[in-house]
Amino acid sequence: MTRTTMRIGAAALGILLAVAACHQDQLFQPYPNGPLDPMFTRYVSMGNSITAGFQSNGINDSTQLQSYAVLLGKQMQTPFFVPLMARPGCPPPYTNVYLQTRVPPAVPNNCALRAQQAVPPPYINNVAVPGAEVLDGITNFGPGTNANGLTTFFLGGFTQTQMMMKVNPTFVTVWLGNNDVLGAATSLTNAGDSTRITDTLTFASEYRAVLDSIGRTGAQGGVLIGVANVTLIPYFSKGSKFFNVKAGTDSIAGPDSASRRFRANFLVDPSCAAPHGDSVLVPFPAGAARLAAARADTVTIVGVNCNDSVNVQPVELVKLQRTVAAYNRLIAAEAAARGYAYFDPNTLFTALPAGSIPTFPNVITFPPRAAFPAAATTPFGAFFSLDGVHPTAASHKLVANALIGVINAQYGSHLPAIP
Amino acid sequence: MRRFAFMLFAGVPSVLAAQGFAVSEHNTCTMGRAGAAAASPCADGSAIYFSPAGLAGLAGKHLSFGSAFIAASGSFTDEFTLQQTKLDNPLIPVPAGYATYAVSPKLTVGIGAYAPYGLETKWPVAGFAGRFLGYNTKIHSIYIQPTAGYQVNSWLKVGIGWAYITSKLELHQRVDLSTQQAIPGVSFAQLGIQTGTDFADASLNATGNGFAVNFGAIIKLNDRLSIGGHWLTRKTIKYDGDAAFKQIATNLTLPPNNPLGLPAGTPVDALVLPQFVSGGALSNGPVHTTITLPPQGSIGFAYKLQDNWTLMADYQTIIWGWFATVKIDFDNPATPDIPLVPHNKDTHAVRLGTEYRHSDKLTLRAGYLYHTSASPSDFVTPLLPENDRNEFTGGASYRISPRIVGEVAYQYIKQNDRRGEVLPGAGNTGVYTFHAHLFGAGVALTF
Repeated sequence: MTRTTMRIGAAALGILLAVAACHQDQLFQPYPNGPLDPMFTRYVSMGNSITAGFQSNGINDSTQLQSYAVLLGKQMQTPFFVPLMARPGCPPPYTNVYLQTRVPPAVPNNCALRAQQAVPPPYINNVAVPGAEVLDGITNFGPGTNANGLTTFFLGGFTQTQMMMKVNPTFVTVWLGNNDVLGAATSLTNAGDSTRITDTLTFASEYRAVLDSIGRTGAQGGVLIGVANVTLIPYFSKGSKFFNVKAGTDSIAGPDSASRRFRANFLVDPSCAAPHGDSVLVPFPAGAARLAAARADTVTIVGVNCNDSVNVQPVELVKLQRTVAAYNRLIAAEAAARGYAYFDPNTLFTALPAGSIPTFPNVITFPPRAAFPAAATTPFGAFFSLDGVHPTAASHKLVANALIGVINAQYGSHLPAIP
Repeated sequence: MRRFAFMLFAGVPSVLAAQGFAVSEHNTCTMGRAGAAAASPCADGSAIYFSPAGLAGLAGKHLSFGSAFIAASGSFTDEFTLQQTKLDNPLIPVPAGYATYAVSPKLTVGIGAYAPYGLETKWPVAGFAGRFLGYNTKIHSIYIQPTAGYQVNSWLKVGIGWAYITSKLELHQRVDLSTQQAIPGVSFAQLGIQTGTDFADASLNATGNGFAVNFGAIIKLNDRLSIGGHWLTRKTIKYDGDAAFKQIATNLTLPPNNPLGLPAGTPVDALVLPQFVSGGALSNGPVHTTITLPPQGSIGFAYKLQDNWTLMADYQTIIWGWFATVKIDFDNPATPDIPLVPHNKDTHAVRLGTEYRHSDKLTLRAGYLYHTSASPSDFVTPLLPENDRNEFTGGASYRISPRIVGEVAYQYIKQNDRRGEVLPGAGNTGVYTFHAHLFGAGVALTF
């Protein structure tokens, strides 16, 4: 009896233990295998509107998630928190640049608030803020800074470097500097205004301050991304293009022969003829947008004058290009000195097949004579969004894959390309 | 903004739902046999808690006292940041003592002091995301219980005790600015304030008391087999105390063009300061709440395998499901009261113990127990991140003299890992681990 009782007791105890051992909760991790490489445990991206995911002159939780930085984080298999803006956005992106319509519904101040995320981000990985120049990476206050509503929405009173340091990153990408020349190039009153360019000595000092902050963290690696040549974006069209189309020796895209030409009430000054016109960049508001207006209102006479200061003049163009080159020499040198990888984004876009970046926007027709959806959906081609400045999701993917190649080459990692 | 609809002490239900909130180590002898005592409690007066009927037939006078010491270890690993935070618990003593007197061969009376419901969890404040649910929680509920056991006949014993309860509640947590309302319907998080922005330290200290009844019976089926059980009734304790708030500097300043429309350089701390002055939502003041200490009971048997070897098994349940609502009521009208509705589950435990009398001087004990958790999967918090547990025990008694017996016991608790939360309302975002070593020491005196 005693022996039997002991056996039953032992068996019961064994079953109990086995059942208890199996009764574990399902333990879930977003990336069960962790980051692809320990170097990518905490990735932070610094930058401006491009890195933040600004598109079509707006930003929301859809465009933000198309950023190359988000794509890169996914390939790293690392948690990557983005300060998502609620729909329709802040401001909501354009749905049609000619009609100036935006993602509905209308919201007060043209700005929805931060999205209420199911899991509040414990920190922010994408600290990039639209409008930021290099100086804005290190301070929100003082002359020359560009803090805006999104600075608070994204960083809540911190600077980009402060937020970056809170994360204690293991890997950092920096794509700052575009706005130090873009602001000059896209000035609505004086495109190419050289006085708005950050001088290279100041740029160097501010850029090094950003890098010094990264150096004080435990970051094991990073990529410094060069400044984009802002004169290559489809927001600008050459003055000579306007002249040639008006002269009938060239044409623009359109659904029929009439819409491939300029109407009689759209004039082009002889100053736009080559060779002068080849070195004048006409910004979208002063060029294609006026052409659309001339099509909508066939009575009012409008036009383009290549001597007008609203266009980038040849001297200004040279200054912009030299500044970009100088910035990029500095950034490349700093990358080499600090052991970071360097990536020049201009090589990526100049290597695209001819015609990928249109030399002239697809312009809306009034009244619509035939279907020409490109004017509404891709006025600046497939690689630039509806504002002609900011890249589309397709471009972000290109950038992400290029960065993956650069990172793998520099650090011997095995980040997979995005298919 | 100017008024916060603020959230505080939101984690309380988890504390109250915790299976571990019920402590069972109230006697070193019983601890050694995994708490299995319903049909055959140790002959040192501890029957006052474990099975009041066991007092009947206890001859002479007995005095026993001792303590269990809980050395708990645990951690939370955030599944996004992979950051691990370790529990910072001190060594926690759980003392208990009992005294009995045999009035007649059939009637024995006694009094005991024990703490069937108690808790202390302490996490580091710096860097631990769960500090907004609670970083230091203490609940002490001491039962002082006069008891009588009566031998009805040769096979039936009954017992009943009436326990006076004195209880103390202490909660500490940080308050996250991002979770507060800046303007009605708009939180600071929606304006960009980052998750985990400490701007206040909140504490709640309160005390309460009440009464409960503990009763039971033991039936002797034959010379080898007995069955028994007891039931400790529930008691809803009304706590009165104080809530205190201390401002924590965020050192944040609003940038230009901020969405609040305030001047650049406006300090966020100045913005929230009015909440801390008299009349503000975060001003100090009286607070009241009620907590139901749930009923619990056990039934079990004791079987003598040999004259010197006994096997015991108990089933125990604690009716946490009766614990339905808690309301934290602030006297300050600017501070919104907090209604809480926990979703607790009743807990169940199986306790297996054995006791072997090696000699007149030395008795050895061992045991195993398994119990379920009270917290549902959506209420696993830093306050008591509990889960089902396997526990293993061992112990020994040594008769130092005819009247003095020394007791020692050891218990190891292994809790199954469990996903839980650290951010209010964010769901389970990490994994809690927990295990503990318990050491017991006591003395039993016979007169």
